[in-house]
Amino acid sequence: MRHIPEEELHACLDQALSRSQCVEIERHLAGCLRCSMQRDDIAALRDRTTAFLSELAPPPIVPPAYLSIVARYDEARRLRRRWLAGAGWAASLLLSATVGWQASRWTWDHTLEGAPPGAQLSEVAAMVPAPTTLSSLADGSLGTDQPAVQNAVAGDDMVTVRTAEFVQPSWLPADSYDPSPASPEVVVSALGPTLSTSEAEATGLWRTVPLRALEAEADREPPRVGGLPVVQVQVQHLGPDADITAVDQQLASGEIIRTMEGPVAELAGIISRQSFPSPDSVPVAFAHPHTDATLTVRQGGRMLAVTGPAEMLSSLMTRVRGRSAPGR
Amino acid sequence: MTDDLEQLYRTTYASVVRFLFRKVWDADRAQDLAQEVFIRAMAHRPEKPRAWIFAVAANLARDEARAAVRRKRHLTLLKDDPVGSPTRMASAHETVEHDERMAQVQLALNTLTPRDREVLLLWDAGLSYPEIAEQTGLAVGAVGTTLARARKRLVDAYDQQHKQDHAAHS
Repeated sequence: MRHIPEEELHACLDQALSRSQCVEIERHLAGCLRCSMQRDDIAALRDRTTAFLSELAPPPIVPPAYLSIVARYDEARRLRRRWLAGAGWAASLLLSATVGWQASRWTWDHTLEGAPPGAQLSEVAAMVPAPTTLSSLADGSLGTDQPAVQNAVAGDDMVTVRTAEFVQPSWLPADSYDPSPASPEVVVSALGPTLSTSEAEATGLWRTVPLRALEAEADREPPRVGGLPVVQVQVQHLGPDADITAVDQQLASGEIIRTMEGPVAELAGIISRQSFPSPDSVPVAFAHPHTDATLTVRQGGRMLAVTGPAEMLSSLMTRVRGRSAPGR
Repeated sequence: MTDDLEQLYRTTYASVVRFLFRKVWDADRAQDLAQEVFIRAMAHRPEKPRAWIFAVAANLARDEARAAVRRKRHLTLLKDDPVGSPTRMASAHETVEHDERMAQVQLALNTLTPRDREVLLLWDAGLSYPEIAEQTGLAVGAVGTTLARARKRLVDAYDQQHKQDHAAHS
């Protein structure tokens, strides 16, 4: 005769078995004294255990109102979001500073200790990014015989991070400069409303470059556009498929200069979606100085697009137009 | 989901506090942890909220125990004071007799293996065998075996303790 295992009797008393199992056990217990006595022992053991554990109860519990728990949850969520925002910001600053500074060192080393002067310069010139070019041109600090814009066709987010910061024209030796790139095709178009960072077509993660930190480390002045210092730089690289680098430079006035560099077809698509007539439209006069304008420069299969207040870009446009004129 | 959680809160809160109290031996702390458990449940929206709540409660209690050990070690360095002995944890409002009984049960419970103790406390908190199995990693069939062993050891340890105390007093 098969007797009921002890654990099955526990499970039966704990109502952890199916109804059919329990019926079967009860039927057996009715005819088995041994199992029946064991069931009674287990029931007593179970009751004593419950009684013991009830001794270990805290004082009477009055649950706080559920709404108070909800309020605590809302507060915790709010704090968490604030913390995440702060942490993200801090991480962004740290990452940008690290990458930017490392890229800076790499660029210097690569430039000064590389192959022959001409080759070095050509390589470096290809890395000159739009923001630096822009600020240099706007300040007039870059000579008119150094058409850096034409060379601003290579895209690398590390180099862009660095050179978006503190490249000084003086580190390009004039005697080794190779102005070989062909004349760019310059297109100036009018934008609609003022550019907003929230309207970025490039939807990746913007990284903020801490100008102050790099400025202190580099012991250099911040770049200026139209005489206004750049107070913040954000960099975004969409790659490797898109291979587009976007750099936002926020001026002390709050205005933003956005520079994008990438393949012509993809960048033209982005620009065309930014609601101005056409990237290939003829230059237009800017009716309002605060209207955003976009300057596009093409070289080969790459395009550079600078968007910002027309007033700020005017000197740059003048220089580029002048350089791109026939015969230059 | 929110309504489900609210309903669960109303029906389970006291059980969660009891479950936690038997692990941290501090009523206020148990209530704090229980509220933390439900706040986390609001954030995570678990599929099986009841089992999830007790699993998180067990984890929080474990963390609390580790922190208590660290605090105890630190305090012991500061002064020669045995912090956190079971008999000191009882509420001041309890009678002396109840305090003694509670201490004996506590000592008996501490003689169990961690797994046996966990299964016993989860069962006492009202979890089903499948829920206990899911939380502890045991097979459902092994829950009954574990529970049978835990009950027997608890009662045996309590009786043994009771005999020793009785012999000491007589």
